[in-house]
Amino acid sequence: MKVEELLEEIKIFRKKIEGKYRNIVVARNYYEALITILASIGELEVNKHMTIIRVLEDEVETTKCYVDQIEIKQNTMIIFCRNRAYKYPLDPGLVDQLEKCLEHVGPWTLVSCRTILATLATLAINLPVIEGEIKRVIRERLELVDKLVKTIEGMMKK
Amino acid sequence: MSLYQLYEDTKKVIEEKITRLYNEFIKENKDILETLTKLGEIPIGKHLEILGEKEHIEKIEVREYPDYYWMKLYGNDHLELRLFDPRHINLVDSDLTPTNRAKSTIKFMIIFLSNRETIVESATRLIQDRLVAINKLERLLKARQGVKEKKSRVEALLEEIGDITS
Repeated sequence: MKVEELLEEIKIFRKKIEGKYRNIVVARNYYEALITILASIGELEVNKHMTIIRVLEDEVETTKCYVDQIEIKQNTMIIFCRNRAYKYPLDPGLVDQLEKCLEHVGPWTLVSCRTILATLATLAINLPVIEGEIKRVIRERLELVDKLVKTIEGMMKK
Repeated sequence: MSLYQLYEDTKKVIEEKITRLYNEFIKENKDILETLTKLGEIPIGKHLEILGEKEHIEKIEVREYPDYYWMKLYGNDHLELRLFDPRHINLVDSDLTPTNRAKSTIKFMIIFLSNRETIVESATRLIQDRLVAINKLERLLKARQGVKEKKSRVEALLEEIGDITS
């Protein structure tokens, strides 16, 4: 494939995902923070439907599936659906990497662009669900500690 | 508030809550803990409540180290716990759950508080037993002293008698 063809392919590809790509780059800090939190929490029980985006050779595939949990380990995010799992690269520098790989086009960068875009687009499209679940985890952890503190304080008053 | 701010704030709040709990616990129980460390092994011989389960505990041992208190409960399974000073450890993991050291500290507080009465009773009994033993020793010592005095008086008399008879 010639460089021109590749550039054209990326142009089409970017157009397809333009809105999401722009939003992601604009909200860079947000996505970096979101990925940091996801990596910190490590495991997220979801039990909800999510939209899975896979960027294939010349098209963007969108699948809706019921997600049991999302697992984040060693810069990899695995989304566990009922029947299958989807693996994505995940680290806080992903938005930077996306920008870089779109600037410096080459046969190998296109593959990595696709993968990075798929990750960020999946995060973007499922933001309400992911944010909601993270907030739930934060609330649950705080409630657990509150309960514990109350129990021990009660024991001390006896 | 941003999601990241919420995450960071929650981490801080959890840390503060555990630290406050530890400070209150130490304020209320430092005297008992210090006494226990001085006593060494304390015979219990009773069922203690170990996180909701009743378990027969033969004895307990408490030691004090620079950064933490250490407690060992001798039962069917020996249980070792540490009460860490929150100033010297990480309290919360990145997934917002307490770290292993924080968990041990919390377990220490719960087990100690659930059984404080029994532990204090056992320590008191041990102190009383030791006091009785000391009193007994003192009496024995005094009695021995009395015998010694009598012996020296008898010896003096015998000497006197010897002088007369010679």
